[in-house]
Amino acid sequence: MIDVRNVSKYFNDIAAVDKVSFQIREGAVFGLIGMNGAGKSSLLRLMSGIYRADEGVILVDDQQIFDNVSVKKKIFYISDEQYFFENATLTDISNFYKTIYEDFDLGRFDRMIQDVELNPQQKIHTYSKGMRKQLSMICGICSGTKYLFCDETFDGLDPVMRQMVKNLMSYELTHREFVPVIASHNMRELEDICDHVGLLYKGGMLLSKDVQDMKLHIHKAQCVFREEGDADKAFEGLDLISRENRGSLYTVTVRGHKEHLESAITAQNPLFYEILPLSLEEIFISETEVAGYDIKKIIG
Amino acid sequence: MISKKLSAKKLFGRLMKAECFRKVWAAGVMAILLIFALPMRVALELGRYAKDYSEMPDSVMLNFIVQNEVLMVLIFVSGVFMAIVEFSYLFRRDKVDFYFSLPIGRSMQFFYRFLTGFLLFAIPYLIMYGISILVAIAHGALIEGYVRELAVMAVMYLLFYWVIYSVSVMAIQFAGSFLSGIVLIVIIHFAGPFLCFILNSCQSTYFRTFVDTGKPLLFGQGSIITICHKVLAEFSDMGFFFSRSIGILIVTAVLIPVAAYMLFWKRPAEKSGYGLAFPIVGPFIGFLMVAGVGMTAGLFLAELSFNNSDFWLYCGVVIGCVVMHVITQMILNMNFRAFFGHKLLLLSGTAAALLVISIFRFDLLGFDSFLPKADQLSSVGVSFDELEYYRSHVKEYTKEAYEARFKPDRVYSIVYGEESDKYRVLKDMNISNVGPVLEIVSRSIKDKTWKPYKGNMTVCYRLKNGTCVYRSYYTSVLKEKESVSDIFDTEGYKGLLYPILTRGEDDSSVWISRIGNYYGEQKKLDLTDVQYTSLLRTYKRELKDLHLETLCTEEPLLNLEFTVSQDDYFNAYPVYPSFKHTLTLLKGYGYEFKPVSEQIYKVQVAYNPVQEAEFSEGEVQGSGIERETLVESVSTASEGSHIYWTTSKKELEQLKPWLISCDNYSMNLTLKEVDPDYSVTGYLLDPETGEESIMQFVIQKGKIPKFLKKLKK
Repeated sequence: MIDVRNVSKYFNDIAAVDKVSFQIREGAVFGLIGMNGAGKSSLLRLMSGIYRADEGVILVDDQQIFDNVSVKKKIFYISDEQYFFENATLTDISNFYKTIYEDFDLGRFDRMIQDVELNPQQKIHTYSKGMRKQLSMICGICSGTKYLFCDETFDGLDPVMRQMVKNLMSYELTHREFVPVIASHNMRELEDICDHVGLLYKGGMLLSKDVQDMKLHIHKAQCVFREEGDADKAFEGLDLISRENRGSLYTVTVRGHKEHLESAITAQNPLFYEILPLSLEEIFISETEVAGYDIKKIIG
Repeated sequence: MISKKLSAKKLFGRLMKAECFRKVWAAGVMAILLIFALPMRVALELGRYAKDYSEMPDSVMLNFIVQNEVLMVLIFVSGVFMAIVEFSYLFRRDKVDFYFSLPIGRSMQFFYRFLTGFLLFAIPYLIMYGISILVAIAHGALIEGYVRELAVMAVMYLLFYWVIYSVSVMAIQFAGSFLSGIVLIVIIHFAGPFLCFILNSCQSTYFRTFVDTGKPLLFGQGSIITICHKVLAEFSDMGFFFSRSIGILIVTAVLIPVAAYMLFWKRPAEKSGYGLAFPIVGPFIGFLMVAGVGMTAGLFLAELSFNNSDFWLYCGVVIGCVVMHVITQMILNMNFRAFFGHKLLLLSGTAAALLVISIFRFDLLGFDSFLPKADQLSSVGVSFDELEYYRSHVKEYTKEAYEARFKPDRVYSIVYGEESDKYRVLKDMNISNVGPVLEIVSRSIKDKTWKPYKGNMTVCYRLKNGTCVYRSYYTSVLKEKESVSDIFDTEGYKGLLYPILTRGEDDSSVWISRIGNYYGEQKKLDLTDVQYTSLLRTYKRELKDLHLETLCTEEPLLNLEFTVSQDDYFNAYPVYPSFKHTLTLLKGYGYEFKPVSEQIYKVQVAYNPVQEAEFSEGEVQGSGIERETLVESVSTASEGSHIYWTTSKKELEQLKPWLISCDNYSMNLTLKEVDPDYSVTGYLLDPETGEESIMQFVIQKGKIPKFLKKLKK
């Protein structure tokens, strides 16, 4: 488990991370969301032991991370601009990582390289940005570490590769202890992989919640009622987050149980109703509007 | 626990190995450069010696190794280069993210790179050093007697590299970008010498009484490089011994890597790409750079201007401070737009520069007017350029004293005429009767201006607290004749002027090798031991009794050359006509000298009045003309001179007693005043050999014979 307690990091009097506290439990896929400059990369670097926190403490499996070799062996950090040695080939990189990470799987590395059709003879500095990101991800997966920190890694990947990475992560999740932490400013990208998300804004953590948990307690429904007053009767007593109507078509977002919403609607014998799936973005919009923030400004 | 330790060791070894392989190109560069500095240079030097000497001097190899300036330069360049190769990754954020995210402790991160940077130089260096020795042997150099020295020097150069490399690594820890890294490396190595240079320049430009004794303001000028040079110079001059410089180097070699490591550990990773990793040092460095460069710019512009103009001095300071501040902002703060950010830094640096310059320019601290009281002094040492122009301030060691300090099989005097010797001699002079010196100084301070007849007087005040303070003043030996005479008669001053007097009575390490005129042929002195001892004793006794008045009324008849080393350094000592006993002895031994003017059978006298218009420093003796210039000017009669020839015995007899040879005059062997308007070319006939020769003379002031006065008309 990663336990971030009241952590702050200042750059020239600017709080890049401001009293952030959250936890990442075992088996979770944690998404760190925020716009550019929110503090995602800084937070990941703090968690990787690259930066020293100015305040607070970061514990990984109950041990402090900074300059702690035994803990760092459990972490593989993929930067947004991953560095590889000048003039290095894939073999050089894999051998280097094998030196550092004892569990680095060279065989699996070679297979994955073949699968994505990266040329092992080609110097890495000639790779495109996307190829380098692919390689970073492969190195991360093959390192066998418990924690994999990805800083906007998905951004440079094509859809096929993106799907492949998601599949790989799913495989790792089911076969061993594996906790990926993925930072991105693109909520849609994280939607189908993360089960826990944290929203950063100006260095602070606005919220950190389980996605299923959020989905269980927020629902969206569209319905058409026979009579004009039926909508008011149906929605009375519900914890409404939002309500819109176009003519007789009502769209509501409600906090609470799904059954409660359904029974409230069906009690008015509507002509039509449907419970719609909420996207992560919609959930966040709802949650942040409650907190008084305009989510569009936060996530761009 | 044991397996964990092994694992860390193993990891360290693997990291070093991987790093060495990745950076093997740097070792290749080192090897190529070292080829030129070591085996190739040995081969060239020894090849040259083999051509010049029939037998290879056995110390050639050692001299070459100890005095290998090319290797020293290469060591400095390599130290900086390898520090950048190994630690410049700290300037790039992507590299820092990569390395610091790895499960490698910070200590290991630092040390495996640090040691790699050392080994990548050390291995090629040792290989090339070994090859140099083989090359030397192949050229016939005898190295058996120098195995210890060669081994010591091999280690010493590695030590030099280690400290220069460590200091450069430490400098890099402060920097966040490549440019600021270079600047900080330059500052850390050269700030000390630069500071010493500025302060010395200010002192020598504006303090009239300043004396540059060669002693730096900071030990080793506050730079590792100069301390390394000092060690080499000490080895070269005095052999191998454990000096203070080596002690400092060893302490530095231990402390600096530790400091570098601590800075590395503390260094914030987020500062990569910024100007400075530790912003707290920014103001200090900025202040130094602004003030230092401002002062340099002021001195430079003043030097270029007419007559060291104050206007250009202060303008230069302000302009230099502003320009340097802009550059500092750009480099150290990576701020290319806020040229005038940190205004307080600019103002404080400029104010400091102006203040320091003003202290020197207007002598606000009273440097030039420094005059201790007699009861503050334990002794003084004094030197008069007018009396010592031709003398070398050779510290002639006795054989025993030298062996006690230096290499036992060599006896030599410290370098002929170096300034540092002079001040060492002054320091040891110990004239306890300080009154005459203080009187002269007091009058000189009151009359600060330089006049053509004034020469330089250097004083070493030895204060009772042990400190030695040096000052230089304008004075005239003849105008201060009474006081100078008191000083001249002291054992201390005589010892400066005639070091032979400081020798023991029967000192056998010095001997008179030749005898002759200053301008004539020198003859080898061929005496028995008894004759020699008698001559030496007699001469020293008469020299001891020599007074200033003699220099004002006589010129030497001959000189005795004393050799004080196997290397044939010698000093020529005068024998004046009043040294009757010495002359008598010499005559008895078959060496008789008459005044050279007696050989003159014809003269050409030129009358050419000297224009008393402009004088510059160095002109002395009331003539308004530099001694050298006066001597040179009489070599030919210039256009416009009135010429008179004579072979008349009567006229020659009137003229000869007042002739002064230009050689004696330029060498300050006589202090007789001369008439600058007349110059004499004497035609000599040697009665023994019948050979003719020509000599130049001047005429004593106030002694122009009547028959020459018509030339004025």
